[in-house]
Amino acid sequence: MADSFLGEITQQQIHPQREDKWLWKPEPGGHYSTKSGYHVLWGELTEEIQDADFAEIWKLKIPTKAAVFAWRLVRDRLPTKSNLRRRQVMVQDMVCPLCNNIEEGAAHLFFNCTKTLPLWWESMSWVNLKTAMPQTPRQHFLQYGTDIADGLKSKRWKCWWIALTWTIWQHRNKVVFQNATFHGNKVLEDALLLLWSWFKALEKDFNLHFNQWSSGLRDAFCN
Amino acid sequence: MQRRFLWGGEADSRKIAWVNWKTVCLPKAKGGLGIKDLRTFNTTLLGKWRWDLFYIQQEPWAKVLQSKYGGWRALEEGSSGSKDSAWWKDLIKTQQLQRNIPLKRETIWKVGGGDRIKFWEDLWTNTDLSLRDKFPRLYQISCHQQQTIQQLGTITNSGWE
Repeated sequence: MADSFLGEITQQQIHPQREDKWLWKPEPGGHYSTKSGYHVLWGELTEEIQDADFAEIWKLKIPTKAAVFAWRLVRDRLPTKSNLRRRQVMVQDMVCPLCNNIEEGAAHLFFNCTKTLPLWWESMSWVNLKTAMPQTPRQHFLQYGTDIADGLKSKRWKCWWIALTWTIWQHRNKVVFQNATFHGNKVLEDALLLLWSWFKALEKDFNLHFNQWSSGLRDAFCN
Repeated sequence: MQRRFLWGGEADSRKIAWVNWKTVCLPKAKGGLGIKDLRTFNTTLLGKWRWDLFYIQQEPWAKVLQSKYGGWRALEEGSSGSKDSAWWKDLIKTQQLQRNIPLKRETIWKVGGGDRIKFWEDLWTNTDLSLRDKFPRLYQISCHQQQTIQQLGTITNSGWE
C-alpha cells in the first residue's frame, strides 16, 4: 500500500515558483466562461436527444414564421384535430374538413387527403419526378428534395414544400373558421405567389416577374 | 414568460405548449429553437462567483469574502457559519445543488507549489479519487488531514518527500 501511495503522489511535479490553479477543461485557455458552462450543463441534460435531421429548415431563405411553422409540422405539433384531442380539447367532429371522410391528423391533411395529394403530384410533375411519398410529415420533408431529379435545386424545392404546406394550412383554417370552400388550384396559385415573394425578398439577384417565373416552373426549381 | 411569448396567452391564462421545453431549448442544429433555458443559464452565471473567488484575490470584495466567510474554499466545501449573511448562505446553497456537479467535474487542479491544494481531500493526482478516498486508513491516522501539499511535503532536488 505504501508503494502505491508513494507512486500516486510522485506522479505530480511540484513547482514551488507557481501557484496551484484551477483549469476549466471545456475551454482551451482553461478559464471558466458562462458560455461553455451553459453548454456543459445543457448538454448533460439533453444528451440523449438527437433530432438533427431537419435542422436545415433554419438555413433556408424563408421568413422565420414559415420556418417555425415547418418545425412544428415536422414534429407533428400543429393544432390538427387529432392533436387537439390528444390534449383534451373538445373538438366537435374529428373528420378532415377538406374531405369530410377521414380523421384530421397532419399526415392525412397535408399529404394523403384526396384534396391535397394531387397538389404534390402536380408539383412533382413540374420537375419530372415520380416517386412514392412517405406518410409522416417528417419523412415527407426529409425525402422531399433529396430525390434525385436532373439538376433539382434541393433548397428551393424544400422552400416549395414549406410554401405549399403553409398555404394548405391557411386554406384549411379558412374552411374551418370561415366556412370557405377548398380549391386545390387556388392553393397552388397562392403557394406559388408566396414562394415567389420569399425569393424576391430574400434571394439576391432574383428579379423575375411573377408571370415570367411561374410560367417556367421547371426552370424555377432546376438548373 | 418565455413560454407565453412562444405559445401565446395572457398574464392570467395559458395556452397549449405544443413542444416540451427541453426540446425548445435545444440548439437548432439538434432540432430545437435554440432558446436559452434560464434556470441553467442562472446556474452558469452563479458559477462565475466560484471561479472569480478563486482567481481574483486582490480585489477588495474578494478579500472581504475571504476573511469573513472563508472565500472559495468555504464555497467549495459548503461550510457556512450561522452568522453568515443570508446572501452568502444562499450562494453556498446554490453551489451544492445537484445541477452544479458537472461544473465541478469539468474543473481540474493544476499543481503548482502546492499552496492551495489540500493534500488528502482535493483531487490533484491523476486519478478520480482523492487520496483520502483511496487510502482511507492512512488518512485516518494522519494528524494533518486538512493540510495543503506545501505544508506536508518538503522539496528536494529530486522532487519532494
